[in-house]
Amino acid sequence: MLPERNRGTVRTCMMVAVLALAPACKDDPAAVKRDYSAKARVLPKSGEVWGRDLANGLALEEWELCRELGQLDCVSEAHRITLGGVEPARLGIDEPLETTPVSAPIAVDRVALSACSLRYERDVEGPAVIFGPVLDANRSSRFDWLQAREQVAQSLVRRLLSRDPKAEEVEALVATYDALDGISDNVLRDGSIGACMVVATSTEALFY
Amino acid sequence: MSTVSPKLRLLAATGALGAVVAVAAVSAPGEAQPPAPDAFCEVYTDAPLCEGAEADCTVCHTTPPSLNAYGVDLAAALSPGEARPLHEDVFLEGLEPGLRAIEDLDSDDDGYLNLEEIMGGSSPSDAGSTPIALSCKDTDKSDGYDVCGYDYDYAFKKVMLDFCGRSPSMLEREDFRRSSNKGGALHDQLDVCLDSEFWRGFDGRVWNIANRKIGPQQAVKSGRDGGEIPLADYDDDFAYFVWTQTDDRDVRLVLTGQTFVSMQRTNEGTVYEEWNRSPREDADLRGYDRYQGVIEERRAGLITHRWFLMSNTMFTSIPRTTAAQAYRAFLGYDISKLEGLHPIADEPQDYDNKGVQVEACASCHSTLDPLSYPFSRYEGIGGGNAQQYSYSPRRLEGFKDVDGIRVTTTPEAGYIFGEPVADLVEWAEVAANSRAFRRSTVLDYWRLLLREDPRATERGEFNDLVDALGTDHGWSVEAMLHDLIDTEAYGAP
Repeated sequence: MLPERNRGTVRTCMMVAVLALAPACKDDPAAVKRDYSAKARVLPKSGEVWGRDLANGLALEEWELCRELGQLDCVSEAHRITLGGVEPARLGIDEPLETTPVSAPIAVDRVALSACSLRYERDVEGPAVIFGPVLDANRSSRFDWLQAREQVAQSLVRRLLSRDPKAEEVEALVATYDALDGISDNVLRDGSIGACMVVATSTEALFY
Repeated sequence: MSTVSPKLRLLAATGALGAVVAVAAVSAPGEAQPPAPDAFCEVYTDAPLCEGAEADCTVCHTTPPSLNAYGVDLAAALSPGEARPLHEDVFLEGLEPGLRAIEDLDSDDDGYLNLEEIMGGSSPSDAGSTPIALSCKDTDKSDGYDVCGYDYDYAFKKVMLDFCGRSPSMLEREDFRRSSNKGGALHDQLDVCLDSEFWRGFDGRVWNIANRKIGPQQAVKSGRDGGEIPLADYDDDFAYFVWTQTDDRDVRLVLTGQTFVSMQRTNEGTVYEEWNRSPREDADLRGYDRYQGVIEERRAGLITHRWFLMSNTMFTSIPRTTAAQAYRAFLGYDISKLEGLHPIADEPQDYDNKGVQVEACASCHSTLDPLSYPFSRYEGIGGGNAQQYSYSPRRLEGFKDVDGIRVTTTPEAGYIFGEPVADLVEWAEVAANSRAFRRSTVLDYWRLLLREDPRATERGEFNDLVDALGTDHGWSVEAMLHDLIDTEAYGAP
């Protein structure tokens, strides 16, 4: 079961995650210009590696990311096999599963939601690492709300994907806050956690 | 002397398959040079899948003997009108005309003719595989990675993820991008990562390569994290395996070494340390449930470790399972899949009265039994006449009541790859110096890093690594990995 802090944000974040950073739709003219790799060898990061990237990006310890029932580490214990790990001595699983199990996206969402929520909570308590600009803008009208959201979007992509974001990515992440308007009772919190989840669970974050 | 491979003869002998099936069933790479894949590559000399090796069984099969779409088309076109199953000579004579006859077909219905696929390095039986020259497209090389060639920035990110266990930071990526010597910087980074705990530590990536070779079972483990029935400690095996694969050590030690390695987890990471004690000294130091029982001159790397003998030999006189596991785990040949067969004349002798001379059994046991004899003097859990897990020249006397008096006449000498060997130490020496061992070693890392076997177009690069492991790389896995990350297969997005 997820910690209490997560429950109010689950539904809205799931929806946002689907909407933002989505691949170009079929009618998008940019889609026809896309390059084609001869190798097309895209590999999933193991849970261990993805979790480490997530922890580094959010300035958290790996053990803090997520704990099922408040006890089992999500990545190394509870969802170890689901996230591409092995357990030869007790379960006889010598190699990562050949195909990604259907439960993998659920496990990824749970870890990302927990980690992003924790980062948001810590930023509220301060000093902020990622969400400072929107928290400041919420506290004072001296700060520009759009600019604050853009700064958060940039920070998320830089920290979690190790690169500068494209303009359309910033736009999509900024829009997560707008998408939650009228749905969420706390747009600041849910928009921030949602934007974080979008980047943390993007194809680019999960595969290489 | 017939030039037909053992596997082809077996297929003919069982009567289950026509000669057509044997086109690619004869696939075992290594010392064996089966004629059918060779014949295929004589027809398509310049095909990527024939680079440095014979054609693979998957050209015509899904899993032998089942044919894939291309194999079905070939079967229909091969020597039409001849009685089936085809005699091997008829089969080989009809192979080229048969292959030519289906060149203009599109067996997998993907829009590319079979000939285009064979010469373009893709599979004529897989609609998801299309000729590379026709499918690669990079309209703007400044918009990210170069998807049509080796890309250093991509390789750098992969090295960080594969060997260091994390993505590079933005700063690290920028530093690398600005480097004037990206090749040098890439290899410097690999050196750093090869020393990481993620790569070489307890439960790390190298450690886990050994899972299938060692087959750990916690319930019967002794020592750290021991189970309820402590029989042996596989920590010795994992530690030894990692040690042989790191710090430029000779990887052949995995089969030929006569020492052991301890593993200790510290705050600075996992520390491996070589040690050498007699069985008595080790029993005194580590206790009865952990000591290694084979005397130094009879040791042969992992295959004489206590865990290997306990979990494979167990209570058997002629330890066929042990030999088969050694053959599979370290040489890449699975006898149960008819791989690596080298039948020996007048074998199997069936010294232990198991009925293996029946024709259907003898096909494999004429290889497996002489492969197993050198293991027969090493004690398992019980049944012999000496201390468990030790070397005992008269071990088989303990089995005469169970397997009959003739079991005591089983020779210690045997054969591997058709070559006679006096004992297991010699067996291991031949094995470790074989191409099969080099291929199996490189394949372990290829699969770890690329998560699949070499593709047809990558066979040249793969075979170069296999060849170099025993020459340029000086039998060092780490030297081999430096070359592996330079391949197109690794560095082209």
